[in-house]
Amino acid sequence: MLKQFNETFFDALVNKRGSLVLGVDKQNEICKNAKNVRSVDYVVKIEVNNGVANPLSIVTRANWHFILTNAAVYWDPSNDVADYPRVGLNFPDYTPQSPFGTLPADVYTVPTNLVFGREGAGRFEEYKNLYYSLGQRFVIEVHTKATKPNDYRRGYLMLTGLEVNLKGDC
Amino acid sequence: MDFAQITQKVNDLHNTQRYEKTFDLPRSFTAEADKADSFTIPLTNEGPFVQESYNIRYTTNSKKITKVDPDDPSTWITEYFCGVKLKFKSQAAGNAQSSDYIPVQLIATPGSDEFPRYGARPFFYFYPKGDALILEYDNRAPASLNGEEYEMANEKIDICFNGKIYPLNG
Repeated sequence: MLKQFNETFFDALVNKRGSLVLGVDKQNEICKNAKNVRSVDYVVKIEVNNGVANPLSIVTRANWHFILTNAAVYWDPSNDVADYPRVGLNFPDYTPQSPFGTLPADVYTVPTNLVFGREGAGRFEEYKNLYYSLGQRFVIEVHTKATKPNDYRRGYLMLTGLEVNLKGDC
Repeated sequence: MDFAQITQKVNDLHNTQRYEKTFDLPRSFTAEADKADSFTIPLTNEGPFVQESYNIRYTTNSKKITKVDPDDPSTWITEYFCGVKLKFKSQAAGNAQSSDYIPVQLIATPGSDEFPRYGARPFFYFYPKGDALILEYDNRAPASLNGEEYEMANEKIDICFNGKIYPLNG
């Protein structure tokens, strides 16, 4: 009975590792860290006209380091075909040069049906720690390319990551 | 594990929760049709709140109507979607957690009749004691690209913010 209680209830209640005794020092440490590491989403609008994409760039917040952990694309409901353009990311200011080059987009596009964004798996986990940058402020350029001419498409590119303040005085 | 050990664990748990408590903050609201608005969600005064993730669910009541032959209603195609975009902000910090409004499809928790729920979206943010979360929404129609028409409707948005409270003077 006690064994069952322990396995099915108590360990899960305390935490998954089964031991945690928190004091004020640990609490302060957790809060200090949480102040200095936080999530952020950068959202830009994509427009593709006659196979030409609008050049986009994202400037990350000054004085905060940025770690890109995920990219996702959502095409606006105004698009009326399933044949969406490809989107590529490039990191021209990354030193050394980005090993990824221009990345294909199909896998981080939000799964869609003919018109509307559809809920589905595979959105948040595609590119964990896709790009890692510490100690530099950088620009991400977005290049889109229609799969065929005379298309006009618009959508949203979201780049999600962590902002890190190493000074610890925010 | 014997009874003495369980007693010890209960005491550890009791002590730990003086400094750290798991916390779910659920909110439901209606994003009114053709409107952009914001509201404030007060957080706990017990101590700082470290948000770790959130879940979002939304309705799809708005319509996109494509009139293949404008004079023949039998050719009109109606498709339902949700056009809500969201932005979150800490009242204390002032700056938004995203660079722009995010289409809800990019950050919602997948889940529908066809697809199982996919879990919470990780998003870390530190709110100091007494802070409030400002939620901004935009439920206005997208601009028409190909002559389609939009009938925006009220959408119900359910959000659950998940994280931990760190009670002060524990």
